[in-house]
Amino acid sequence: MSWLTFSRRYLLATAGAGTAWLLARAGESGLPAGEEPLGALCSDLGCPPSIGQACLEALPADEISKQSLARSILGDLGCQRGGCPPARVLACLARERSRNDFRDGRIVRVDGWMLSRTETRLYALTALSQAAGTKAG
Amino acid sequence: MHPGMILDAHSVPAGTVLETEVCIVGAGAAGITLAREFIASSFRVTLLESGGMNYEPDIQQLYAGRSIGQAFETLTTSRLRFFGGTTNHWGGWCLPLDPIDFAPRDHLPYHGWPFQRPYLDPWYRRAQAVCGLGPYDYRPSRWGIRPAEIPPPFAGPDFDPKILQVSSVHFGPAYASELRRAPRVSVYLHANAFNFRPDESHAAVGELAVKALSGNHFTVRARIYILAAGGIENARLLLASGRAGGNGLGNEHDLVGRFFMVHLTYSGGIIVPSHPRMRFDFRQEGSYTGFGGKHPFISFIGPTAAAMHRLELPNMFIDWSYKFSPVVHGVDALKRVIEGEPHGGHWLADLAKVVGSLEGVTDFGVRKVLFGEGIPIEAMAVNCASEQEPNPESRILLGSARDRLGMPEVTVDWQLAPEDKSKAAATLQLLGAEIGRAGFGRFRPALVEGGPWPSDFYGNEHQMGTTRMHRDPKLGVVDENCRLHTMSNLYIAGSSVFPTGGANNPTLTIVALALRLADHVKEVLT
Ligand SMILES: Cc1cc2nc3c(=O)[nH]c(=O)nc-3n(C[C@H](O)[C@H](O)[C@H](O)COP(=O)(O)OP(=O)(O)OC[C@H]3O[C@@H](n4cnc5c(N)ncnc54)[C@H](O)[C@@H]3O)c2cc1C
Repeated sequence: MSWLTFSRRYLLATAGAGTAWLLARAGESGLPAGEEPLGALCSDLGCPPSIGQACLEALPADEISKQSLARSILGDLGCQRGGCPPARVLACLARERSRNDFRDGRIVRVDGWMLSRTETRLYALTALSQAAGTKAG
Repeated sequence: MHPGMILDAHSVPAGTVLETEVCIVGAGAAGITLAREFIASSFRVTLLESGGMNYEPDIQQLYAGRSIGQAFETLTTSRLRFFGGTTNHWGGWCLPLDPIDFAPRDHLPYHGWPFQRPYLDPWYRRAQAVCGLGPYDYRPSRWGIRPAEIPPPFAGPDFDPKILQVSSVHFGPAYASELRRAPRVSVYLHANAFNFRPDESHAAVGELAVKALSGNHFTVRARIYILAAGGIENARLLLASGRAGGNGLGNEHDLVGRFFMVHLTYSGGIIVPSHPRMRFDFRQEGSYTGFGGKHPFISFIGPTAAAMHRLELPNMFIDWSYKFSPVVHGVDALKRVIEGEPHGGHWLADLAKVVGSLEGVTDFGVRKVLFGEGIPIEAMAVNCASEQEPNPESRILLGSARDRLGMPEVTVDWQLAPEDKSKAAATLQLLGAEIGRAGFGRFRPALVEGGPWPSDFYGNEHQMGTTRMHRDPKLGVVDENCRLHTMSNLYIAGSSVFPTGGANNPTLTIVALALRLADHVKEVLT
């Protein structure tokens, strides 16, 4: 079974699953309405702060706001504003997009590591969300 | 009758002139292979070896010299000067050069051999036996590596798996008794070739002056001379030969000693796999019994010919060692790469976690076979040996100091082209991209465009190019038969004739070329 087959099947199988649970987490990230699944995806990834912080440092300054990162990520994943699919679907899209980033040379160096632009943004967004959560708490 | 045996130069009366048909200088992989080829022939062979049967410090010291370019400090440790030569401590890794190594590559200056790989195949096949290896078949699938086991980043289109075979033959101990018994082969130990003197025509060698450290000296007169003293020493001897104060033999175009190349060796970086238990069985050091014997082999990866052509990359030999979670922070190779980094070792675990979570459960088979249960791989430390571009500025010269025989010591001016680094970095960038694209994991290259070489970078012991082969005398010291363009009876054996060096270990090619040279010399003599 190729990865592509796997991911498509995975995507289909999981597309509708867990929506209620994900919805329950909406708002944690402080993202605009309709973009909460992205926040849920970020927290699912469990990105350690050290990596999120390094990703923030590796990105151009004008990308570094929750809104801008969310817009870029969702735009790259083909999601229109407000039309964000559930986090698990987003995860599959992000995975595919991340692999295509590598194929197409959209690579960011984070502390020397070669990361895809998509994952770098995701991890950076996680860091911003975590920081917001900490401040709020 | 010519006495066939192993003699010592000290026992030859001073001033003796030894007459022979073939005189071979140096009893390493090349010289011993050549001499053996004449055992069953009717020709008399004299094999001159600088050392004895064992290591002797004062003889080894004859290899001392100076490095004036890029640091090359291994002159006395990367070569061994006694019977069997450097194979007395070689690793035995054997494989032919890749077809692309022989092929013209427009992006590579001074590229290309006078012939292609298939032409050399018959001699490679025979070289397998000389090195005590399995069949001349280097397809991983023939060594029990199933295509399904090879994870996508290493199954094309940009990288593919390769294998090498491991020889346990040390040419000295392996072939001494055979040569001792050969009636027409005489081996002289402690016999240092000192000066090839041209005859009156200046188009052929008339005689070879030989010296022993004891002060004894004699002369060899032969129909054919073959210089097989190693990748650096071949050039040194040519430069030091001929009339005093001249520029050596075969050096009409100032090529002798130039194009000195080695394989560039360094830590390539770290891979964090996205699934610590994915199947890595294709990468192994194992023994294969499928050919009716037990043949050790090692698998590794390299860029495909298509990728090298497309992206104008040099060849590269890439392998890695696995770092298991419980020990990962204590492992030297890895420590070298991550020490001093702002985030240190904890990054590995953190990154593995987050990448694994992004990649999800991949479809790479979960490891069961090789390491059993419960030893997840946290990282893979990548090791590289990359091809050095032929570079006329990189060269072997004669120094002003002299060794105990009175021969000028060698000076190594090892030079690298900027492309050696930038193209190696580009290959690692491609590797990282492929690893990410396939979802295999993430890569942290230790060499990046514009950055320095990794701290453990060095030029290894595969010394090549200093008497390069080319049909055009303006571009090569020897012709396609390994004969000096300007000397009708002086041939060269060894990696000094390689016009390009690829990234694979050189000795199987040295042996194959020696076998081919023996065939040629027999033809010339009859
Ligand atoms: C640590 C190490 C590991 C290696 N591992 C591998 C490996 O795994 N695979 C591989 O392919 N290669 C390996 N090599 C390289 C390999 O050893 C050489 O490619 C091979 O030995 C070269 O063969 P040669 O006959 O050209 O030279 P050598 O084996 O060096 O033999 C040259 C001989 O010439 C003699 N000599 C020198 N000057 C004179 C003189 N003036 N007069 C008379 N005799 C002279 C020397 O004493 C010596 O015996 C390794 C080398 C080292 C140092």
